[in-house]
Amino acid sequence: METSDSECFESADEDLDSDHEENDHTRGKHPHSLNPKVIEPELCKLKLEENKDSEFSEISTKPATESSPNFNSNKTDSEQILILNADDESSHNLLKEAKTSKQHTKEELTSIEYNNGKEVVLKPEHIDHSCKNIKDIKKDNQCKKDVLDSVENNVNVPESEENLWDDDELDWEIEGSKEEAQRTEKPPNLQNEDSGWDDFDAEWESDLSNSVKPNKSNLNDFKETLDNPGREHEQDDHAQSSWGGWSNWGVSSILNTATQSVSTITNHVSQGLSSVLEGSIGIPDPEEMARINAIKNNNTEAQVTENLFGLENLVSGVSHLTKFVESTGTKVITGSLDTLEAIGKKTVEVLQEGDPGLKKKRALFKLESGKPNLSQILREAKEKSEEESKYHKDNDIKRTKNYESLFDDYQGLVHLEALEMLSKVCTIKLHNSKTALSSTELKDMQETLEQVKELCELPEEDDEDKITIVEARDAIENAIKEINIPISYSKLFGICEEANSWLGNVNFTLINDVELHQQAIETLAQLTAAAVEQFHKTGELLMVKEHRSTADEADSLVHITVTLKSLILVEASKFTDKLRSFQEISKCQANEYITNIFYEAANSGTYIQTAFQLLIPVLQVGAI
Amino acid sequence: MVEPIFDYQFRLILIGDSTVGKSSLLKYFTDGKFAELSDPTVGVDFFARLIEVKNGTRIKLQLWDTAGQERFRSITKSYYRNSVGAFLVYDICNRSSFEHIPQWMNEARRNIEPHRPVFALVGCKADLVSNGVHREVSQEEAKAFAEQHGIFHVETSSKNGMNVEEAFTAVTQEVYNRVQSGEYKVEDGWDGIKPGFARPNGLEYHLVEAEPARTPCC
Repeated sequence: METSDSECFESADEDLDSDHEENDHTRGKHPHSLNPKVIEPELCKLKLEENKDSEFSEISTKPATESSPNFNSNKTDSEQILILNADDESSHNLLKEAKTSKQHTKEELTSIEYNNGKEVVLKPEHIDHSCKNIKDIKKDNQCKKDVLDSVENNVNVPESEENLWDDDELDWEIEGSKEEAQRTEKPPNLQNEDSGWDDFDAEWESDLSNSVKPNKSNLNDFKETLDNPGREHEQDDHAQSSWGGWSNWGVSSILNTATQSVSTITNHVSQGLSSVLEGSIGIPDPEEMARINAIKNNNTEAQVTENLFGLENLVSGVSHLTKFVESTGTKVITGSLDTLEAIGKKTVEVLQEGDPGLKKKRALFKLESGKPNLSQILREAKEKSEEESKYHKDNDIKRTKNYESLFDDYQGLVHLEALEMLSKVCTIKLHNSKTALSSTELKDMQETLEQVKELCELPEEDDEDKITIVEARDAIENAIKEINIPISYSKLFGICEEANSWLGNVNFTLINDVELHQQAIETLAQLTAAAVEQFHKTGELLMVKEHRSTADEADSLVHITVTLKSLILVEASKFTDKLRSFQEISKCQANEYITNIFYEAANSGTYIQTAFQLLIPVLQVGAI
Repeated sequence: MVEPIFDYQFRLILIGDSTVGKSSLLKYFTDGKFAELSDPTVGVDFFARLIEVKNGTRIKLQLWDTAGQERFRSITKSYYRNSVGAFLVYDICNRSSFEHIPQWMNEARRNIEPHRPVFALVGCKADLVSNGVHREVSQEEAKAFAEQHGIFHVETSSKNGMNVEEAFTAVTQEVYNRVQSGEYKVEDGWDGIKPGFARPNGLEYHLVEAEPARTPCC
């Protein structure tokens, strides 16, 4: 802050990176939907969660917390450096994302702006409490908001930053009390223009000094300082309204740039000033402030109108400063927009070249490149459904989990993955042994492999026979004897028994159809995971088994597979039966759940069958 | 069960001679319990736990507990490739289990290539020594080996939990640091590091963008 005006502006020109630039943009937008009554950060947060694309909002949550001190506190501890780094990186990432998903972001914009609106309420009110000019700032920002809206069509990149910043603020608000307290302690430093400012991030400092400088000579006099924001904004109001007129004459392209710079710069100014104001006036803690605000809101309007008249006289005094800021700002803006565009372009490039490249890479790792592997598909399905479930996620009710996540939780997915690895190893082994063979030997081997495959054909499904648990247990125990490896399905039957006793004790007055459905899905996922685990173990044990007897092994595995599949169906129908009787009592719409249970049961059957088929190469290796 | 909200999933593998205590170590780490008796691992077993690194990033650890038995050696080899970290586990009361460590290390290196995993040398059964059982591997000796290879070393007890948490935290933090520094990346076709679902970030985004081109079919 000890540097001269020109130095400050120079450094601002150099140091202002896109991040800050864009943050400033956003600041201008905030008061779009001002609703001074709402201060609660919690509410903002809730609103945020309602955003249509929750993924995106989640993204920003993390950087938000970290980056808030960057803008708002004078902390000096080493942590901050870490935080700043993290912030830079995450905002960088976000930036990339925004460029490539413009539409994505666009969709969100409305709701985010809404949040911004809420959030900003707090800021002007700080100032308000310092008894000045809130209305002016609001009004002014509202105008700029309109301008920005039109600019937005041309400039998409900033939106990501807006998103980030928005979250910064939200989190900042949540941690508000602490930060507030810190800032409240600072005023003495600010007055001396001393250490307090040194602690700011370098970029931020130059940014800040840029905006605060014009008033510097008056800094000792708080009253003067407080008057300034009003005057500045007045000035901009004038400028904008007249430019609005010009654009009707057809010079809109030039004006667009100009408008951008003005609004940005104004934001600089107002941002800087509000920081000064908040910092220097010694605001009370948030609770007290909220209380005061509640009272104040009622008479604010009258006060502000009064202030407005007084301020207009002072406008001309500030105008030359505003002009200076404008010209510097134009340079800054153009530079950073170019940077943003470059970053965006690069990102798109990387993404585009990544996609086809990935397919090739994938092909390298797989023998059958055309065939997507099951665990991959499952993982995708899981990701997808997790995305979807976020829309429906409610915080209070026990979060319902989808089948795929549960299957993963019970280690089904990873067992399947490991089984795939084994299957691949065996396929490679088969492939390698083929190359060393003469044509007749090769023919023999092919025949053997074919025979094994035939042995592993599953019989046509027979929906008629409803297997009992006891029958299933017997069938599987016999099959294990036949295959002669130490595998055990006791875990799976344990799950069955548990489910049955749960169903036996279920009290319709205590649970609802949602819980019943969830229990069904959980049981199915658990059963399937246990089954896949045993298929994986079977693969491992067969591979280390000394004396192979392929026919027996195949026969045994076919039996196990068939038994498991019908067992799954039986378990599923136990749940659907319960749902039906529940439906009769409560007249609820359980049909959808019933359908879903059968759908997931069919899925379970498919996974079990796939696991079995992955074992075929293992059996084949044993046969040659 | 693991909460679905995590930023990354790291796959870590435990290797070492049979009966050194790999499964017990994992059981304590994921369950907080010690099992007096446990069956030898068949092939590989899986454990999972969520852990937070220093900056609060949530990591899901997918832990591959390999069988130490010689007969499974050929199978476990095929599981190495997708690991980003490897725990070299030995029993401090079993000299030969420590002497085999260089072999385990080489095997892991070879099979994880071209990726370079984070290694940690973990001595198990520290509680036995305090109960009077003869220690066969000195702490200094193990430390010297670890320093020579630039890897983390710790002695643990899965019975009283000593240093169990530390061992996993250290490796996770190191992997995460390497992710941060750009040394490790989320790569398609390699499952050592995978992005989380709930709070995606820049790396995740790359995947999300690339995926839709592939139509899942079944």
